[in-house]
Amino acid sequence: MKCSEARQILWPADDLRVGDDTVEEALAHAERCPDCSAFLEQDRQVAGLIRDSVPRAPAPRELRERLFTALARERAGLDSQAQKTRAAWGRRWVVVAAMALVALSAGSFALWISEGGPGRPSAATAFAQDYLRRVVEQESMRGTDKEIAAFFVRELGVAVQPPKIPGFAVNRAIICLLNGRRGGVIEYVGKGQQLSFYVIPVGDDPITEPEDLRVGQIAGDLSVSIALSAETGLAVATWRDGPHQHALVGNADVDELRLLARRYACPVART
Amino acid sequence: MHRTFEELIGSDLDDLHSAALCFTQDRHRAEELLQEAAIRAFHEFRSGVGPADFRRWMLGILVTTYLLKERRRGVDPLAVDVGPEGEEQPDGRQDAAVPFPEPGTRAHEWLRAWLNEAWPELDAGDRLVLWLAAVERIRHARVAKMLGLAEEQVRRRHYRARRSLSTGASRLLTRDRFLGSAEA
Repeated sequence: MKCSEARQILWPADDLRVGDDTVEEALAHAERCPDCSAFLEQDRQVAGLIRDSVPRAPAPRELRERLFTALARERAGLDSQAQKTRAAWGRRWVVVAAMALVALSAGSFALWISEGGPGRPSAATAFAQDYLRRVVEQESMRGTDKEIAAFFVRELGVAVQPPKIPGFAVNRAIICLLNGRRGGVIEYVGKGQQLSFYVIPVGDDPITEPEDLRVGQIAGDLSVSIALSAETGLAVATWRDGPHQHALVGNADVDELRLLARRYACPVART
Repeated sequence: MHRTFEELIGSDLDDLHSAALCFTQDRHRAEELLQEAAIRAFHEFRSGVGPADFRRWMLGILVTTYLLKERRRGVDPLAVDVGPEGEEQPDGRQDAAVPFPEPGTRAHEWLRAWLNEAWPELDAGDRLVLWLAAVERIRHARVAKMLGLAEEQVRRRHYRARRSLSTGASRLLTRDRFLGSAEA
């Protein structure tokens, strides 16, 4: 066999190939031929170097956020279609409950999540809507605190460690969409109640101070104002902490949520 | 439990971004490409796909979207397939092989850095094939299917790109000044 034939059969040198007679013959040639074995050895080295030296560029955080926001919008579009189908199959009660809640809570807060303003639901309403939407929502992630933090880093670019609340256990972590903005939700269960803790990255959007009841200053270097609202069986607390909008929503009474919200309104671990 | 599209693409996003940047050689266009490909993939996604299959599938959509976008702006990375004579096939006419430095040596690191910077110099189509065949380790037949080329064309482009880098590296290694300073 000629060198050119052997090289054509055995190149690329780092590829696995079926060892038929032709390949066996080429390999035998390469073993005897110093030029061919040097050629193949160098090709193997080049292949390794190429893989090793390939330009790697991690996706910038801004791209990640933009991409996941775009995907969330696409999903919201699909979800609204799916909701129509579900309603046709007899789940209208969810829609009715959501509409009732929206009607009751409309205008209760002056705090807006992002592109807020007339025509958009208030923060409390939006959180309550999301809470109800998830009654029929199926996507979620269960895992350890570390896994949940990694999930949020991947999805939101923010490491949210689930706050530990005595008497409550983390049920699952979810990605939500509020007024077109992606956020994270950690669901807790305990004491016969369900709580949802929200973290919505809002960046440098201007803060509109809540006008509702303030439940006090949080001790330590974090000082936040927490606004409370009661919504027919659901209590909603909202507050802003730097670039994140938070909320705590649950089927608890307002006094109980007031105490719980103080526990949640502590700095979340972020990277 | 099936992983969602967002979870799956989140795991591969850095690699997909690297691929997009390698194809386009432009940060802004790479981001646009990745976003467009992700939205397309989102609509075609069917749950139940495992991470390995998803990665290969998503890469295919990235490549298709890249070619579509390039052709839309009047550029076809795969239109021209002509290389210098003697660089088309692994025949017996090549220069004698130059021994490469051992991994861990300064010369080896220097060579890696040089290779990293040599990627943009490759022909766009050859670079695309090199990424798929050498970095992603996708077989020539499969790459050919992804790109709509004949397997022989893929093999030729792969060889040309690899040889171009190999020749450049060999030249670099035989330069006395390089060897002297690298070992200093």
